[in-house]
Amino acid sequence: MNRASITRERSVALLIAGLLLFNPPLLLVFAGDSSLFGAPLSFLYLFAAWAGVILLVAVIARRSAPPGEADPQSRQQAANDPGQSGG
Amino acid sequence: MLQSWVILLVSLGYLGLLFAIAYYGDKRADARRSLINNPYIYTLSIAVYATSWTFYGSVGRAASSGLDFLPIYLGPTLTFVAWWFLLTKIIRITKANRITSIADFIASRYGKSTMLGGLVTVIAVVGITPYIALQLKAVSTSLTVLMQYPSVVMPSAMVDAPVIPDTALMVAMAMAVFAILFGTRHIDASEHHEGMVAAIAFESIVKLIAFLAVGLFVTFTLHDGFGDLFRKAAQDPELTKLFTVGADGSYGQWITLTVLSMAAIICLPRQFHVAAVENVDEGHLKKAAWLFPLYLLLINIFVLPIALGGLLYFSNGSVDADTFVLTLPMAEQREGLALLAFIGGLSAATGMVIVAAIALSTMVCNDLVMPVLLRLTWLRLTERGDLTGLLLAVRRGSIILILLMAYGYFHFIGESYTLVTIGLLSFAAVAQFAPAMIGGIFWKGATAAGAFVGLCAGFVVWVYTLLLPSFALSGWLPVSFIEEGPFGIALLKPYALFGLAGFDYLSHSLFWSMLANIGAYAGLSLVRRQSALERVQATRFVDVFRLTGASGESAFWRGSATVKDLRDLLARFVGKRRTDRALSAYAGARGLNFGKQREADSELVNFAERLLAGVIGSASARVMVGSVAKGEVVGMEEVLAILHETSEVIEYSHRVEQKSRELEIATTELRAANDRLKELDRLKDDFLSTISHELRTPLTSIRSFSEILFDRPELDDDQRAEFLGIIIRESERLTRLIDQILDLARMEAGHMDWRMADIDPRATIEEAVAASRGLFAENPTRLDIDLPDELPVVHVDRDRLMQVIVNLISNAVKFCDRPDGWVRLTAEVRPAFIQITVADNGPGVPEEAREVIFERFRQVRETLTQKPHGTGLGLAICRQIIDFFGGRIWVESDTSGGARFSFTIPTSVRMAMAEGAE
Amino acid sequence: MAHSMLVVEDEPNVVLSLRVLMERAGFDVRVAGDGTAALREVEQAPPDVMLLDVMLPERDGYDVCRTIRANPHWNGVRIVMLTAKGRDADRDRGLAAGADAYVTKPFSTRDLVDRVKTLVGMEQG
Repeated sequence: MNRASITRERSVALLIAGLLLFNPPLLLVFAGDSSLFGAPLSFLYLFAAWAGVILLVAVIARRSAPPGEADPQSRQQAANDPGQSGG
Repeated sequence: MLQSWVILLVSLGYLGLLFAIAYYGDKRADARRSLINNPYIYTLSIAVYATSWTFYGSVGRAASSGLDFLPIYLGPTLTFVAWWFLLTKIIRITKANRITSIADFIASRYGKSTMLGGLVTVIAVVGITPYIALQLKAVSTSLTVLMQYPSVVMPSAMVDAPVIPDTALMVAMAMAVFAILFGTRHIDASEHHEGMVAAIAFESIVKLIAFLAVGLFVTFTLHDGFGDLFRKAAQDPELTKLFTVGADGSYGQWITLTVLSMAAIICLPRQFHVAAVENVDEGHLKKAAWLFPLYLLLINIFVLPIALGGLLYFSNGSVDADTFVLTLPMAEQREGLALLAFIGGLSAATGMVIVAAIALSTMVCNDLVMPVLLRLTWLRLTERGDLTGLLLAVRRGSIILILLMAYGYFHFIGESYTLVTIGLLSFAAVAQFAPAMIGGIFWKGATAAGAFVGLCAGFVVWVYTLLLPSFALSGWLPVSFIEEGPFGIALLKPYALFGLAGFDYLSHSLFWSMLANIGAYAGLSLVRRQSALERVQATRFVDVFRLTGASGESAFWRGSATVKDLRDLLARFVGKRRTDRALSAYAGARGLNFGKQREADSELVNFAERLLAGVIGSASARVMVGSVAKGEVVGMEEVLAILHETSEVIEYSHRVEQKSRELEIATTELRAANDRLKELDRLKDDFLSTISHELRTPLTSIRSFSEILFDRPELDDDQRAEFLGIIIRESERLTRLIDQILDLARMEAGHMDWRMADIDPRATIEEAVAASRGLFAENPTRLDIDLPDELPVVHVDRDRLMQVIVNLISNAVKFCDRPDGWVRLTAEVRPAFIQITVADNGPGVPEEAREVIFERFRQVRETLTQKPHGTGLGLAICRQIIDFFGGRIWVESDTSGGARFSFTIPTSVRMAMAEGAE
Repeated sequence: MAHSMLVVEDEPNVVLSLRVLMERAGFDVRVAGDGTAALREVEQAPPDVMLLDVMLPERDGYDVCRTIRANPHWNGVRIVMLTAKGRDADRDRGLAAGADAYVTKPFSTRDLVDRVKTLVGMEQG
């Protein structure tokens, strides 16, 4: 487990989460008429979810490894054994 | 106050400001102090994604279908979540291969295929033309509306309407001029337009501020905040529909829109250009990954409020929702805000048009026109000197053409559509690039054939299911085309292909086009094999992270090219100055010297190709470099074999070279030695010949007179005495000569028998003087002696020292036959030696002869006819002797005009040190 | 009428011996000390025979000989080269320069006189 694969996993996870959050069917849960604080729920939900995803991307980015490169140890490994997938 | 001229003036002023920013940005770039090298500007440049579609169109769409304007922005957010493994890879690949456009990217990936490049370009141009048209529509509409101030009138309702088409045309031309000025002032090998990026970033700020200003105005001025606005809207059932999503089952399009926009954010030519090609630093992505979605979020917060506000305000429906952003401030007499809103919309539109025009013209030039022109060999372009002019002309021409096409689309078709609908058409078109692109960077097995057929298929479906119907809906094709299918074939109904009904037109089109596209792409790739070049390129793309990072990759190029050829080639496309700069930077970084190096190695060939690719696209670059270098790309195994063979050959030839070098050195030395020997031989010959002559001369006199005396007894006594005297004298002369010659020969050969001892020079001098007295007997010349009382001991051969002194004195006497002639002998003591001088007031020795007389057989000739005295060897012997003693002998001019011969003899070291110590 | 002779030699003792010798033999002897003077004398009055030393200051004897031979007016002048150089190469050179005879020093006086007499067609004796 190195930083690169962690970053990759987190990115993919967030991507999937975003896809789910932003689209039906999950979207339709919040699509009704109800309002919250005077604003329509769907409106609030979408923007809140959106802001949340943005925040998570920022966090992942801050803690990310340099793109595409494995950590020094695993890069050595990758160099010695090209069959292994790099970071 | 908001008269037409004010509006126009402000507009032109704003555009002027943009240009100034662009100019400044380019200047800073030239000075290597890049203005745009920070992630915030990078993010803002990507925000060119928000065009007048966002500015005006979103509100329009929100007013009719609620929140489903939003997926267009959610999609890019999700794509940027994948920044780490997707976007960075794209950018890295773009940089490593000097890719200049999306057509270039795809063409390069699939074996630098010019066909693919051309196809992508065609699709892009056809697909983006509607998008540009929509910008033109937005600007001309907003301009027309604003000019009606203070009345709020829609263009369609205007009585004296025909202003609009002309406005749009003028706007189109103005934007063409701008695009040309921004992006085609020169050909830059890296296709960076830093000034343009700076201007775009600025525009993104302006449009955000403008939109937020209007939003704040509508929400907090016209109403009392979000709550108030939504409550008011909730009172109208029509409006509540807008709060929700899919209330009427239209959520199907939501997913489609999300997916489309996920693709569009990288497949739109303008987006690819600002995000990948213009990217200055990969690291900027880290910030952009969340900053850009944040921008999108901010600019969308007020869309629904404005829409609701507008609907509430203009409840009679006389105002198009597309114009709410402008008309709401207008209606409230907020002139400043209305102007700001207009400028914001103008900003959004110009940004898009400029970048799109530049990106498209680059593609048209590099991937469509140039390959064709290069193939037309009768044009002989490969032989033309400087092609930068041609490139610029093609680009400028294509910008104008594209804008004219956009205007045409707008004029004939665009008026019957809302802005968003037009835009979605473009999205669907460029989405066709996604499989080839994404597949290309993750799947090595994807082939050019697959990509090509896939793109073709997807494009054809797009044309059939979206473009043609739009013509029909505008009246250019019969409506029956849509409703009943072409020629009445129901299965081919463009909105319900093969009976697939129940989907919105967009989802339907996306489904079929992607099916065809991906199906052909994957299918053909699995079935067909790749060419070697495709395989190399595939590796280059998919493994870019492994292959790059520190330095570039090394291709396997077996070819031959000269540095000069490459330089000339580059200069033709990039200009001489830039070529020189690039090549010297390259050489400098590697410590090479292109002045000396003639052959270009594979790395240089690659570098040149990449550099060239930055200007004319990688496919054309390949053609051009190929025409200069002869060779082909080979595989790794072949390279290794060649390397091995080559190294052996190199080893062998090194040894051979070594041997022949040694041989050459030996020969040279031999020759030199031979020459020296010959020279010595010659000298010896000359010497012997001279000696022979010198000896025979006195002998001649001796013999002749002897014979005369013998043959002629009748000679009288005087004559007899005279002749005998001559005989005797010449015999003496001969003897002397023989002695001297032998002495000299012995001294020079080192066989001399020196008898060295410590002697008192004073005594020796006195003895020598006494011995010379005889010379002065018949001579009026007087001899003066001036010696110090004490002379230090010297270590010499006494007889030889005397010989020197006598010789000098006798020379002086010989040459000094004046009545008042004198010869003076002096001695001086110096720290390390004694110096003895014999001076006379004779004719002296001319300067040119001063060295020469110490040579053998050389004498000074007083007059031409007079034979010199002596043998000519005396001084040569003196020099040998003095040299042997460690001293020096020379001649100067005496103040009296005569000669001054001096010589030095080193004093005994022990004595010198003792004396010095005293 | 006495035959005329020009002696071109710069060694005074040799000049004296030759003068004594040749006057006794019946020649009218003139002397020149170097090549330039010799040519002047020849121009003034070409002698019947010349004794020409090779080692002369300035121009050497070969040069003088060639110059004289180059002028057809002086074809009648017989030239005997005298030299202290005795190698075959030098003799050939002398003859090639146009000398009628080549004599090395030291020479036999009797031999020299005979040769000279033969050249001008005087009877021996």
